[in-house]
Amino acid sequence: MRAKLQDLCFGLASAALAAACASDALTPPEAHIDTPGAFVAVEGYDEPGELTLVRILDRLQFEEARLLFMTVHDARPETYDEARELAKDHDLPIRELIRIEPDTVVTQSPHQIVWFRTLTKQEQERVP
Amino acid sequence: MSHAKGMFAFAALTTLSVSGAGHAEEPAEDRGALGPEVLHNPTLERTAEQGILRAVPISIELPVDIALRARRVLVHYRLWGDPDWTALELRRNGARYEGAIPCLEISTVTGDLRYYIRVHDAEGRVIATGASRARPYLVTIKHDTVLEPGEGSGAKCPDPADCPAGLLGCPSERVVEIACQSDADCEGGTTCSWRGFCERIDRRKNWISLGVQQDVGAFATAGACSLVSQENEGYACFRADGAQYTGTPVQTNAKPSGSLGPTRVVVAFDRLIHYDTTLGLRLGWAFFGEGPTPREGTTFVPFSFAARATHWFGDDLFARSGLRPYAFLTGGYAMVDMKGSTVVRENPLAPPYQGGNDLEQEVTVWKRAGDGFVGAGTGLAFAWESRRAAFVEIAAHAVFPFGAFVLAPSAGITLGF
Repeated sequence: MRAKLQDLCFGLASAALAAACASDALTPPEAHIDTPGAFVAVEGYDEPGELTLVRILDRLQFEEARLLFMTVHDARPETYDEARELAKDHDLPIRELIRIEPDTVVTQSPHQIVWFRTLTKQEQERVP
Repeated sequence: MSHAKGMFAFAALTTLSVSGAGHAEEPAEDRGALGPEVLHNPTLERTAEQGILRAVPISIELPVDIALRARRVLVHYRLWGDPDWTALELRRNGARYEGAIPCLEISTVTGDLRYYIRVHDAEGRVIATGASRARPYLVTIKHDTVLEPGEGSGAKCPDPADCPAGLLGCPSERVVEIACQSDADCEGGTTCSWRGFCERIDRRKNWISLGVQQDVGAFATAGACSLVSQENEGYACFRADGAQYTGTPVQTNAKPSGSLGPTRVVVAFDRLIHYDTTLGLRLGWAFFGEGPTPREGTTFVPFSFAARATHWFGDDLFARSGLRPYAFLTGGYAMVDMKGSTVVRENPLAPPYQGGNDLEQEVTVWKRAGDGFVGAGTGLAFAWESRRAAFVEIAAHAVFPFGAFVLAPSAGITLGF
């Protein structure tokens, strides 16, 4: 039944009537924890109970581990929504330009990917 | 001049020849286009005398080749002191065409009566003439007392009530409309109407216009900022920092956007091809509203060109002043730059081609629509004279292949000549 509904939606899309249908049916791709450019708000990264806003610059994948290259921003949001609004600022202060951590530092703490922005050339060059 | 000679001039016009030997001194402009002169009448006998209150009989016999094609034979005459020419149609009587200038028209006024004869075919074309407006036959109307004995003894004027015009033996009917096929068949400042009759109306057939047109457009923005759209479909997206967006957007359901397009000055020429129909050409120049050229895109061409067929609602509107409503179909060439905005959502999982693109950002979208268009419109012209008018109109254009829907309101003035 669901498959038939999806077919119906795509059929309507081809008939240029799919505006609402497509938006309901298709979830836009979201950034992951290791997506370069992603802003991640991590709870307890600096202090217990506090949120820290970091930005993923790159990743290094090993067989059973993964390293994240991050920029740590000088911001202490109190909520994830506040963290999202702070991340939209292109001039957000930076506390630490590059930090390399295993991904468990993030994944084992409460966290949320709050925003994404493609990396500029200068930002990419922070990665050694 | 003797009475016998005068009667020859009236009735003896019946002696016919194709040679037209009696008109050797005819002005050059009276010859040629109107066909051969068929009424033989020696030069010295182009004039005659006639008493007052007597009809002037006219009778002709056409050569066979002319007679076979002739449909109407008209006598154009002008009385002494009368500024206008009047036309009579001769009746066919066997091989002859006969008629008379009514005696009541002759009345008691003395002086020269001028007339000439034109033979028309079934389509109104003049195929033969006898004398001309510039060099007509002359009949001098004199009082009976100055005529020689016997000259003024013709039949008296019939009572119009007893002898209606058009009946055999009565004066010929007055011709109200003279058939024609082209302006060359008409005289005295008249022109050939589309109904096929000569008319004297100040109707201008050529119209030149000058106006200003403002394009207003709407266009789809869904997918507008993808590289494919920007390189192949006339779009150009710009971020808030002014850089052209070259990221990897996610397809979204962005709403159509709309804005002002170019402002153009338009010169037009229209030709009246019937009472209510014009065909025209338009040449425009966009002097404002050009957008940035998209990457790999075509440079903006400010010229525009259009052809138009217009129907005018009303009875012979171009013959008078007043309001002139109209509707038209049009098509042509034009580039239309339009500015809009949309929200672009970046695909985080795609290889990034451009840095600094937020997950969602509002971008300015330029659309270079065109280059062809077809459309329809309506307008209203106000003619304060039959040859001068101001107009306002609006047209709806479907633009292709880089699609958009464009409204093109315009206003201006138009002059007829």
